Amino acid sequence: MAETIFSQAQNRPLLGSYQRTPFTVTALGVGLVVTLQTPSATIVDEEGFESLADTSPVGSLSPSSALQARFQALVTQWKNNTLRVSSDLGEALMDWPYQQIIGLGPRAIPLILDELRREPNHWGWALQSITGENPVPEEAAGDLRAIAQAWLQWGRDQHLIG
Amino acid sequence: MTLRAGLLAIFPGLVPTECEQTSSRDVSYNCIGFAAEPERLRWWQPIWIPSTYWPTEVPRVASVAAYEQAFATRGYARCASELLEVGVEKIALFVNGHGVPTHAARQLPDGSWTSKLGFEEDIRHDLRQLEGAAYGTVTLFMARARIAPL
Repeated sequence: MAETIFSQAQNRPLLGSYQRTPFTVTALGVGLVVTLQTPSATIVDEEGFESLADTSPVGSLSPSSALQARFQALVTQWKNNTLRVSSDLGEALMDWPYQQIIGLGPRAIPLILDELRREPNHWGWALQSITGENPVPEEAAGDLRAIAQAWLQWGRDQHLIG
Repeated sequence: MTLRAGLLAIFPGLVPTECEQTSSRDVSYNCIGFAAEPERLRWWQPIWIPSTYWPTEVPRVASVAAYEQAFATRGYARCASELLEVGVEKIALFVNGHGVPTHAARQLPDGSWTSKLGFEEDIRHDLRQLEGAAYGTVTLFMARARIAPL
């Protein structure tokens, strides 16, 4: 059953949908804090409300082409912004494009996992922020390749990637 | 490999003829991990993010004292200077004007230094040529016995 989630800021329905999954998803965005626990619901950040309107059938986590394009643009922007000599990871994760990727919510999960499969990077924080999960064993701390493997295994266990 | 041009704008003290790029860009480890534990490259930082490593017995504080403790877990002890000593491996910790550690470099057997530059590449350089607005100044030296290559 689908549930419509309303923006706290403007009391309007948010668009999109996500598939029933066994985990609880918490999404944080600008002016928006929503916890999704129902089998099917919708979430799109207010920033991309119009451009990311998703008309795919409820019950699918397949990202729309608009979402994929938006995601790739944000990834490129973030990577360009992290062409830096500072070792402060916190600063890089607070970078606006990275925060917007988190704001894309559950529909970005398969895209982030695909990105992780291509190249280990600091995507664990985004995945943890969106899902509330942390499948990374303590001994893998700081080891991006091991962290990527842990998240990819999590994605396979959740049937989000093949 | 020669230095890319952009680095000279960030580190105006670098003398291109005395430095070289020694790796390609790699976001999976940072300068602290590269200095402390080159045999297992990780991202060392005292913040609560799973993609960072910090020795469990050391406070997660961005202070010189905490960084000194972190390096001590890998056998380093405070020493007086950057001077090359046979059989000794040294590291240097850079600190900004607020007393916050910003960077670490490791001495090579020939007396030159090697650094991982944030999310970017590794370089070989003269230690003091990295001092300036980006990393601040060197304030701590530590040393341990150099492990002979097999």
